[in-house]
Amino acid sequence: MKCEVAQQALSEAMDQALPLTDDTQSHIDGCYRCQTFARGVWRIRELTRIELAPPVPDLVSSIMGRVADEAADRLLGWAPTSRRRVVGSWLVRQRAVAMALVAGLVIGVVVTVGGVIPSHRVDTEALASEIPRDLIRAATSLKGYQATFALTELGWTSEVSRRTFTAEVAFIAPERFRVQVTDTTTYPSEGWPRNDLLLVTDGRRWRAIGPDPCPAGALPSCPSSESVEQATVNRAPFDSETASPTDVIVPMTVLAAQDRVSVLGPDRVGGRNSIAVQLTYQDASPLLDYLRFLGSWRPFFPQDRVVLWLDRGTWFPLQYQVFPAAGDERSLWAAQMGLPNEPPQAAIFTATATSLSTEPPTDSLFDFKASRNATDERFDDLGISALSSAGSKIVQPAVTEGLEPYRYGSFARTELRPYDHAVAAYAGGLGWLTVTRVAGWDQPALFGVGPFAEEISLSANRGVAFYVPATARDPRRLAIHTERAEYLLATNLPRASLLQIAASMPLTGLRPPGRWLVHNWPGGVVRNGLDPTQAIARSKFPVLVPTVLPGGYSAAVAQTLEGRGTRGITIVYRRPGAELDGVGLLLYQATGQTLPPPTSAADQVVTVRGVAGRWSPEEHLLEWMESDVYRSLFGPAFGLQDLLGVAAVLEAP
Amino acid sequence: MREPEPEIVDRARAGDLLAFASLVRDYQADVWRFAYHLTRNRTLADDVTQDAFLRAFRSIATYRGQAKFSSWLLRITRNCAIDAYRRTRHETVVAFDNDPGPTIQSGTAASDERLRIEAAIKRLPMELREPFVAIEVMGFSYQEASAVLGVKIGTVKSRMFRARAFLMHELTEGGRAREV
Repeated sequence: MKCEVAQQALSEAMDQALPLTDDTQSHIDGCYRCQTFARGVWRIRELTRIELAPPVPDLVSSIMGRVADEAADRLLGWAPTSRRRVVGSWLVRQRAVAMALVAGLVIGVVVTVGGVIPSHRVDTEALASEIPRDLIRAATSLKGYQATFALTELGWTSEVSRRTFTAEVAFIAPERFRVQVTDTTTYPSEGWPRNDLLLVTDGRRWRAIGPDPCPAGALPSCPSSESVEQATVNRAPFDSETASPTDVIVPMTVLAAQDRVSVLGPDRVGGRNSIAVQLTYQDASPLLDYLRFLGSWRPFFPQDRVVLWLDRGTWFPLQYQVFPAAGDERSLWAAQMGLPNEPPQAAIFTATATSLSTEPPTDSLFDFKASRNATDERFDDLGISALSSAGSKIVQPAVTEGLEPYRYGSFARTELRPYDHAVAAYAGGLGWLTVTRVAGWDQPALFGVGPFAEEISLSANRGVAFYVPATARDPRRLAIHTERAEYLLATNLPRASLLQIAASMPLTGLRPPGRWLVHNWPGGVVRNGLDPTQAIARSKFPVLVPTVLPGGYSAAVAQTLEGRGTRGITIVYRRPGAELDGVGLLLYQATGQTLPPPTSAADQVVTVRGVAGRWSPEEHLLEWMESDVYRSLFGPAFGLQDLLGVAAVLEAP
Repeated sequence: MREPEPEIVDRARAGDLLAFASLVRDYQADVWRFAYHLTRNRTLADDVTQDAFLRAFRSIATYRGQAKFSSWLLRITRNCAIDAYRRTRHETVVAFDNDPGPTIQSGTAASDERLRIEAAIKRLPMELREPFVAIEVMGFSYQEASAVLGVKIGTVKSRMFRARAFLMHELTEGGRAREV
């Protein structure tokens, strides 16, 4: 056999995941040149598939802008012919009208598509029962808040290594929020983009203004240094897509991760008694959400250390600092990000409150005129009085843990939302609860909680409900399937409060129909709700399971996938009754599947069980190939080291 | 790559902009990545992505489901990238391959190796880069790559092998020659 023939056979076998023929294998075994080729091409594959992905820009708006332009031309029959000249001026005027119609339609859907089922990325606070009672009381009784923070950021670029800002924050309970960030940095020249930002909402309208994020490599010549505006009108209460980053006021989300918070001890900041706590940036990131909604900011490593000083009386943050983590992985990440070597003891970001008040700010701070291009969420506020009227079908809880009815309304029915969707919101200070009722639900799945929710028996013989703990981004959720409608409760109150509220609703929760557990689609079949042990026993490839699990976790449920050339199994591990674990810990294993291409510039190459794998910090996902089996571990409450620890103890059952 | 719900495609074919916007949101990242790896230039990838969706919008009424939607869309993307390539051969304003790509700093063995592979990929002729990107980067099967690139499966196989042979040559003999 000639080398070229052997190498071509090897190339084809690689691409089709086929074994080599005996002839080819024996040639390669005895041929140094072909062995070099084989090692080289496999190495190219390994490094190509785990190479850094370039950051993908969001082009949806600009694409749909051009599509809307073209659609408007079509509406007007505006073809590139001589007719265009004759009726040009008339068409220009008509076109503006058509453009507005089409653009309104398009921009509306660009932002709302994907949010039909509110199952993820709900960027709100999450309280936990472990959080001190004083914090809950402080948060739920807060009427108003005003503060100014002085901010210092180091390491943005090599040319501008230190930037300074002031941030003015204002809040009136429950939903009026405003933050204005003023960039006070002295830049090398006028060409550098300034990070001047504004976010303001009165609950029903929401608006963010500032420059688009600019890749560090492109600075100072950003593709678009002009300010952009994102706006929403007819916004639903506590909307997930346009959330208010209120952790800057009381860090309910951040401190909800109580088991990952270290208390450093008492201290004094600005003449006030404070308590200092420490946690990772991964857990503390909601604290900085009030800055990072637009503009360009330096990146932080998920394991960077955040020290937070909280006022002992009010739980308001007085100061917080970010310190670089130590270790080789952090150094490698910094090199990938183009950052200098940063010593662990020097803060790279500092925010200090220079003024604080619980005096409610003036209403006029939250007034603004919504732009014509604002996204219309099409939530129709019907008024609180309508909640108790005969026309309202939504079942109200008798217990609301001190929260008062705040808003009630419904979404307009559309082709993408072909069901009745009503929402009642209850609020008190920063605490909130939404009760959603969906009638005419057309999907074979519970509304709003995904396939791995934990079944819970409600007290007072109210039947069963399906619970998903909170994460740093998502609120606690509880789905109730009833004979007539789907209910979804979402809140930042503790789990015990949520269950008490649910049990006070005169509903009987049912298990979903058995047919919802099996999904047939052209590519195969997905089976949900399986017993993990039985699912593993039936799998026809070498499945591994952890011999040791994080404290309190156990195998809860499994899902299998059978498709053309692919077999996969997902095992869900969770802590029953958890407050903050999200869906828990998911171990997915599959044959006939290779490592998919990377999706984020933040992805890192890591060693997992002796082979090169990939860690996606934004997704909390660790994945690798082992013995021709694709394996991944996912857990919103877990960091890289936690998941590497689980991966290290995987063994055949 | 996942496929869209047939109903969404049908509605987009019927001129429903809401449905088309849904497809743009779902596929823009894949289209941009494919365009970027073909052009190795972020600015061109932005342009190619926008052109590809605009062309898709113009021609979706003629899409009859004869190929997978993702293959059909990426084939349009590939054609747009080829057009951009031809343009840049005549207009030297923006050249292919002049983008530094994701920041990889030299210093470790793995990062040096990655830099060398990155440089070798940039030297791949377009005819060989296409199957390499489709199969090695995007993870397509031969059949999918054939549909996207508009060539027979046998051609994909042989070009893929030639791409690998080219890269191995560049990383060994070619690389050494350049270092001299």
